[in-house]
Amino acid sequence: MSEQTSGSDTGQDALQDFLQVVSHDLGEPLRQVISFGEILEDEEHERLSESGREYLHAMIGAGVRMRAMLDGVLQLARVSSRAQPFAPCDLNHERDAALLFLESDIRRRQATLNLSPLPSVVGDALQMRQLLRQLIENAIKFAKPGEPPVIRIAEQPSSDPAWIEWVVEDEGMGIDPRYQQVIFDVFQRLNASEAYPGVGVGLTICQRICERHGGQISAVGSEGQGLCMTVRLPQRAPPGAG
Amino acid sequence: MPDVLIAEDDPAALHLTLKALSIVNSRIRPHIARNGAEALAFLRRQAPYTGAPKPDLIVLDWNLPKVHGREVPAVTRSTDAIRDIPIVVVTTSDAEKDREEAAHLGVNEYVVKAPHFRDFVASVRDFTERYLGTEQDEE
Repeated sequence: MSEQTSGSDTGQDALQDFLQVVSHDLGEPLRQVISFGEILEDEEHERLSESGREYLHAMIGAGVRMRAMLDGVLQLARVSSRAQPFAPCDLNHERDAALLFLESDIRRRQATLNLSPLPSVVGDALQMRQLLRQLIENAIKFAKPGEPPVIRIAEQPSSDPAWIEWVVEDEGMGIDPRYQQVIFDVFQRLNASEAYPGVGVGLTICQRICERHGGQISAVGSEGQGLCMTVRLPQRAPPGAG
Repeated sequence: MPDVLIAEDDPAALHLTLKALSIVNSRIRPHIARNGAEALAFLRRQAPYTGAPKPDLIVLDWNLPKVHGREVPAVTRSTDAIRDIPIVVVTTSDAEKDREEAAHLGVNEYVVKAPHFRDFVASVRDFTERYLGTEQDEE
């Protein structure tokens, strides 16, 4: 557990203020681009040529994508700016809260969940929940087309008692092993099809959360053979973490 | 016809707000203040607004120049003649401290502008119906 110093409070406040400025000052002109584009599309539809309509549609799409990326950058920055102090945290509780949040997706995709007890850690409970939710959400999203997702969430034996490990494993589309590291880079999307919405910040956020807790996350899989995401965290966060 | 005071400094944002208001209620009579000082002068009926009506609703951008948006609810809620005017903050900022401050100062609603125009119109329809009633109510 760590104590925030007044100096780091000031730093967090400054970061928070900066993020609000970014959110507001970039967000408003972007909203205007999207909104005026949509009004043009609605009201001048008949007067635009077919290619004019296509260009406009692409412009609005680009604006919407940029808005999503801006939101992604803000979410990423909030891993540290909205961080909570570390405290004992039961991962089973956080997993159940994450599953509750994803309940409609799980039901709609008829996902099968194989759950085993998870350990406790000292950490930021909300971020642990966010981490679990993101990994489960990805496992649902990247199931093989037409197949219900099958997801296993379990603790994994660790060779070092000072560390705990747990996995979120699926039987979905998997990834080319060459991209096992790249998927954690911000705005990296291996599947840019409209069938898989997102801007590619989810796993970067997961990595940042693990790093903040003094741990790591890794991906192992191959194309068509599912993906196993392993989270490795220290039983107790190292000094300075959190 | 309901009188609505819109305090907004950004011309493009003002255009979108006026358009949304005209879509949801064609009978609204808009009055525009380009900064916080103009909004306060309008509410106090100071020159050049000596004949200004008491607005039925104030649509307020929070980050206004000259006099900050926070002064509008602060003054409105402490002035008997205008204390009861509903105030809706319409902004792009979802900063928790702004929301809290607005609520503390007696703002009725804090609306974060949606990126899509039709969603923005829906939120404008929602709060105008709540504070002004529907067009049919006025007839």
